Amino acid sequence: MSTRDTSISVLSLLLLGSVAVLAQWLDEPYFITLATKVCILGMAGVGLNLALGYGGLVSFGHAAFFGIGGYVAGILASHALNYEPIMESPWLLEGTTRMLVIWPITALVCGLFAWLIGALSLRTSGVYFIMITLAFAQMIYYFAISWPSYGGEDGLSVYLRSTFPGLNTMTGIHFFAIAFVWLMLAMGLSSRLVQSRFGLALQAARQNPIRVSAVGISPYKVQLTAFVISGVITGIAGALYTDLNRFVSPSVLGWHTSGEIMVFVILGGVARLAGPLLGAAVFIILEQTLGGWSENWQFWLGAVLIVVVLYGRGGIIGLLDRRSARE
Amino acid sequence: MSEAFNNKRGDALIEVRHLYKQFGAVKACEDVSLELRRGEVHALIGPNGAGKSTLIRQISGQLRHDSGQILLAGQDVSHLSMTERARAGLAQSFQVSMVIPEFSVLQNVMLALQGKSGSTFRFFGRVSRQSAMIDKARDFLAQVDLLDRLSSIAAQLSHGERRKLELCMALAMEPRAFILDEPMAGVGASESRAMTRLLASLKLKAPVLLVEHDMDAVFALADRVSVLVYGRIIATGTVAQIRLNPAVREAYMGDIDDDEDGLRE
Amino acid sequence: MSASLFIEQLLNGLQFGVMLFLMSAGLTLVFGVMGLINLAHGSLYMVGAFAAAAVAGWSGSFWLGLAASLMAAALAGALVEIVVLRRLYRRDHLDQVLATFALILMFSEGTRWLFGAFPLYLDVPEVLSGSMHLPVLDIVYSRYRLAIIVCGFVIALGLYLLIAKTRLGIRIRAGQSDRQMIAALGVDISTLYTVVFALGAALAGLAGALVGAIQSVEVGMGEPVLILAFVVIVIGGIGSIKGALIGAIIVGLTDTMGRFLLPVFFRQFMDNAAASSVGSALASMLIYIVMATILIVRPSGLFGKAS
Repeated sequence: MSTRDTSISVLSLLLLGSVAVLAQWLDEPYFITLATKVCILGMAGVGLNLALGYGGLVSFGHAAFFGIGGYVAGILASHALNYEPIMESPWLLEGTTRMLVIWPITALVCGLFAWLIGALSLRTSGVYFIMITLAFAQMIYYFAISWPSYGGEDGLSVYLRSTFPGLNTMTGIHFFAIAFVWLMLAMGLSSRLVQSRFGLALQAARQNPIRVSAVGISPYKVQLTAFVISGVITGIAGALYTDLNRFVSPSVLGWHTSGEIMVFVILGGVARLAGPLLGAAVFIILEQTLGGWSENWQFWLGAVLIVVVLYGRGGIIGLLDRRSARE
Repeated sequence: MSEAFNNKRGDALIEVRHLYKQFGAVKACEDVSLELRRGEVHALIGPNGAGKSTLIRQISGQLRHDSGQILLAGQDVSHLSMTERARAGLAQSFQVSMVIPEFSVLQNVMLALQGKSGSTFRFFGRVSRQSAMIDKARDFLAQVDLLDRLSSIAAQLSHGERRKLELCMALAMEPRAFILDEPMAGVGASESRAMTRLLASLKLKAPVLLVEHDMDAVFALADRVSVLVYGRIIATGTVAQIRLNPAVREAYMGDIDDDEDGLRE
Repeated sequence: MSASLFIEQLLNGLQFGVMLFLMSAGLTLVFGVMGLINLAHGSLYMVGAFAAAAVAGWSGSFWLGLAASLMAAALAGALVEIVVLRRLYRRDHLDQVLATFALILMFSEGTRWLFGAFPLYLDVPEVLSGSMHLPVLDIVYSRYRLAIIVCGFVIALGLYLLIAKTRLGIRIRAGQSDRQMIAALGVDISTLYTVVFALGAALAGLAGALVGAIQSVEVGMGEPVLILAFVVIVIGGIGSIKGALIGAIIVGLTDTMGRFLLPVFFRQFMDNAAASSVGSALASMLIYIVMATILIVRPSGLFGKAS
């Protein structure tokens, strides 16, 4: 990882933070919400980037982790808010609205699913890997649709955000702060990982798994570990997303979500630390501006994405690189 | 490694017993038995398509054999994966250079050191600050004369340099045995003497199982030679014995003494 | 559960499978020959359905609508191939996924633009409406669905003949095994690619039109089918038409029979409401479970070349 990556990341984070602070100062809560959304979706992308960018594992099923995280948070909170225990036998298990409890549970559940899905999917590679991860995500999506206990197709409303000591999470800027810190943590973690011994092996396994195996490192274990960490990061982002919207529905598990998280990463720059953040930011800016301009904004979004794929290789950061190289 | 010395068959580091491998109707390996003894360079020669690479891959674990046994220092490693065999002390270089193309030369060697020490699952310390490991990597790079290309990207190395890097990675694993698949392939005439010297120095560290087409190198380096033809070993012996072996002469076109290069194809 | 109901469900599963085959054949051909993952294949299905509904509505003829679906989907396919996709054959899968994902957005919004948000309907033609008695199986079954099954197998046979016996087929097979070779044979590759793509698109469009008369024709109808088609080609082995046919029938039967039998099965030891919710939840996951199992045993699908 270059110092350039670090500086782009710090700059983008500063910019995002100041947008929120400015919006607070101008009393524009909508922009705070948008900035929070950028944090959360960016974080989901940071998770995916670890597997897809650095590990070369093109997962088309990260919506599974985003959605499972979302449902864990939603289910725990809704039980607590309705004073219904999750189960009474064999032991009593109650819901909770404390984020500090919700997060570790989310991490655990998402990690478990990522381990299971990863362990099976990593037996394949290439297009098959893309498709099998998609299939697992669809499996969970259809399960959520047809399982009636938590709203089925209609989704699950949580009328209050979960709580964090010392903050009023229902205040936009406070919740932004939580999401922002999580984004920084995720980026910091991913930056350290990539530069560590583990990161070296992960990037080597992307380029030449046989070589990695020949020096006595199992590419499978390395990739599986990365996949699990990636799933956990994306899952926690999903939990935050439920709190942001106070709602979770099967659509967060749908393949469009997987596609969008992938778009963030590619749009921003694959295997670049700030890539997912910039990608998510630009995506949301496009959504807002095109959406204000035309009812059929998705058409234009599609057109922009195609131009990016055809001519803008390396995404936004790639573009920045080329510009600075020219100067 | 002391258990290896106490082993009854202490003399053989790698022992291949009655190996069979079949691809469809093609018998790539038929009742192959082979020993790599301590302190020796054992060359494996044979015409193209004789199954040399297939045999090497079965020993390293890249391919699974159908039946038979592979022992490393007396222990059966038949059911171990390639990774586990590498951890057990087999280092190999490949016929087609296999380095990590986007990594620097140093990072490639660091990867091998990391494999050797089993320290891959450390998530925080930066590789670029592991000064002890870096010093070690520099030592190994100096041994193959690549120290000046330390920070070059592997993909930009010349062919010969990539070969050296690969040997350096094998060295860095401080293995119990080297398995080298045509290390001289594609190395230019100017570099081939240096390469031969380098290969000779490997033997001092661990025995070498060498597949090679370059007969000059084989005759210069090998203590023993095995000849593989159509998946069978037809002869094993010292260089002199092999040169005189009638079966070998017959398997190869022409007469070895008249035309050593006849062995090449 | 009566035997005739069971047979009817089997036939429904077969009809579903045949429809999936029409979708998957193009997808697997395009991947096999050009190495392209085309997420927008479902959009071509939608284009076919809309073209059929619009033309049939305007002319009053189902058959004109069917012809229109083939033409519209083939044209849309050729256009997309020429303008966008041919630039992506050499790129990695990631770029292909992103670009064809973007194409879906454009197709869906473009269609909504043209036809509005309300679904269209396509009527089954007079000749094929109603049901008929099948003497061998001794059941009464929808004429139209039966026609889809027959039509699907005829197309499968046609596709087999096309690939096995014609010059185009030889080129396609050559393209699948070795791209350099067809260049060496002096075949104009870019035309070949466009033709293959348009062929696949036309089949998808036909599938859309045929299904359009059973379901409503609406934006987004292609996406669930696309994912199923991916499941099909992954099960069958990417690039293999035979695999696509077998995979499609496996998926069609598994899905239909799962939805039919699982609730019945769970009713043996649960009350009705619980049985139908557990049964339908499991049924909707069933094909993915089958796919994962097949990939775990055979990582390159049933008829795929090992990588």
